[in-house]
Amino acid sequence: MTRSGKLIIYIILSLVLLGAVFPVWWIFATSLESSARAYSFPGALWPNGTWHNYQAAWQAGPWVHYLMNSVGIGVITTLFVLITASLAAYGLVFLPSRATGIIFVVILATMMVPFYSIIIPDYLIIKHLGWFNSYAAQIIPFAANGFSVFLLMQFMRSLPKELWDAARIDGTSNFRYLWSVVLPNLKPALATVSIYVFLLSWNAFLWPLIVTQGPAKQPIQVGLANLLSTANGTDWTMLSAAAAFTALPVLILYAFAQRSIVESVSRTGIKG
Amino acid sequence: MNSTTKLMSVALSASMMALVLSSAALAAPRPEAAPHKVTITFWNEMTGPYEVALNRVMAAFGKTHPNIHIQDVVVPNDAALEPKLLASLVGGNPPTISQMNPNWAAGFVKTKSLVNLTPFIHSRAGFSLKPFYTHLLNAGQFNGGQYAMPFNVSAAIMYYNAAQFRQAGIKSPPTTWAAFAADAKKLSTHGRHAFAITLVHTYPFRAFVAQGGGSFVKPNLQPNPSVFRPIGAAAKALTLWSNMVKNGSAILTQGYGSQTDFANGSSSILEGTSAFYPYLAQAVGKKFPIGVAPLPGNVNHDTASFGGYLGIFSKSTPAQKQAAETFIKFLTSREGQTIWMQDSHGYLPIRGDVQTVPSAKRYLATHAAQRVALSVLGRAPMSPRASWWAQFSSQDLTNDIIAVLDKKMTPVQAMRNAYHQAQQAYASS
Repeated sequence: MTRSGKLIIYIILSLVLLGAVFPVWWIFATSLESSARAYSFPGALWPNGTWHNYQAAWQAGPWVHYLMNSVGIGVITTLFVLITASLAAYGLVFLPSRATGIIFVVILATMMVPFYSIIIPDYLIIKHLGWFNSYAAQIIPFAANGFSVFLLMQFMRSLPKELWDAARIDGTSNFRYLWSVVLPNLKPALATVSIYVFLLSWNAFLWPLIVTQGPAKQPIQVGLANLLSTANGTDWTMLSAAAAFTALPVLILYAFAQRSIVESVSRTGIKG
Repeated sequence: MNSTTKLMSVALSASMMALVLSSAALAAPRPEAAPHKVTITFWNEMTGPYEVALNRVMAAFGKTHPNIHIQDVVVPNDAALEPKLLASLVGGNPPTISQMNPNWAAGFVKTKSLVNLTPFIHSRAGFSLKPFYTHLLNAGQFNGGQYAMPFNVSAAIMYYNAAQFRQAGIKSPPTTWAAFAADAKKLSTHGRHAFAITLVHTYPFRAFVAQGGGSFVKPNLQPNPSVFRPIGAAAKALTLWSNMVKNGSAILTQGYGSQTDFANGSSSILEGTSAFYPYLAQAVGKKFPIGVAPLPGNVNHDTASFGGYLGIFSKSTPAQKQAAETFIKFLTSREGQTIWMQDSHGYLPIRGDVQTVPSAKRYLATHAAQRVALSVLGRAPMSPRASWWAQFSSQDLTNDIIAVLDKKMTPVQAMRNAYHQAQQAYASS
């Protein structure tokens, strides 16, 4: 490639980077702004460094508690999905029966049902189980996930048949084969499922809002929404400050897991 | 055991442990409340500065009613509160009290989910309805009973950028539609659109329709055909708006973009309720003086009020109902409403006698938005209490208005369409 060609690519990449970083910078800049300056352009892009919004936002809610709730719910939901999806996908791929096709279609069908249409039935189940205002209400309904089963199935199907044959000859049990052969070979797919489910759980809003009462069991998204007084207006500076410090744990997680996230996304073709 | 196997074992054990712990926590007995202490749950949308104000009112109530514990559950907005309420009603565990729009209350009354407050109001422990604004009470009345009491109410007024008005040579805010359109034209220079229209709610349009002498709903709660006619008030108001958009003196904004436009000076006129004021004052700061005036008039100078009502759900225990009635009595009392108006800096008292309280008089003298809004509250109808209105106004009517402002329909076509949709909504309600 010529030098000028490289230069053009770098310029394009720099512009794309700028486009991606700009909104994040704007949130950060707004969080360090007085309300009046935040509503002026380009004033809000160059913050005058007031930390008052962080102080005010921090006092507006039990953020550590919200964060712990979100992380806990997200991690446990992810673990459950990894277990249920791995077992379901294994059964469908390696233990076929006449019902396999029907079960697969039923699992796929769960992905087509809009969440809004199952809110009431789910709510009634939660109520009858006595799980109202609990962590279980926010975890168990999402402990199995059709998309995750589908994704793991695709990966399991790509494993060489010779591995299965060798395991059969050695007299390996199904659980041992899943545990010692399939899952170690499925690390990228498991990483993808984990990220997908964790983000799904992290971003959940309506369901936690419906099944919880008060901040004790509520996740971060519900806490953030309470800062948005959409009946009359929004204090953008305080909201930006809250958004900035609540996004921090996810950014740290991303920094540490960046390599496997990028790998898993590039392998599966999923776009975030 | 290799590292992957170890990791998976830990993951499996952790998840199983979590399941066991969560089940154990659920099975654990919960302590009973002391028999003399009653806990009532109160779902409301009072977030941000209004949450702080409501907490102060509740603290004042708590001082005189130590045996009533209020579990305050804050929900961000209508879009979140409505499904939460509906799910809880279907599940049979609604809150004791909730904030609600009058048209939601209509649906709750139909399903016998709300307590009729009239027997309590007329009882010895009750209170007089005489000091209340009649039209606000009416919106909470169904089948001859008072099922919902107004609480957080505000009225649509006009905020204007006094500095830009002065620069454009406009000495006083417009009082007629003609002056409003002419002033907006003068103010729309340098790529600025003077009037930023918001359609987050339909009360801004309802206010203009009221000025044109119309109302969308007849007293019998059916759609009012006269307002939708080609020469009706809705088409007239929509023609005014669309002409202003066409000549560049108005612009349709998304969400609360109208507030942003006003605060950063790219629009000069903002139609909003007095409850906007705390947000607006913060956003504008000292950039320019905020002027406040009643909305311009046409056939009359009516406007629209907007706000939340309080209702008690019939699933509550007798002790909870009694406690909730006492709480509502306090919130709507002269004392409760005075604290609410002064601490919220945005909402209006729902009863006329608050204005005779000396501290309220002093307060209103220095708070223009609430003073102006209070001066028009008597001629500011509340959103219709018809159950069909909610979906019709937030979807069909809003889409029809947007279609006109986007130049895809004429005002007459849009209102003909809207009437058809209103009839369908009424028939299916």
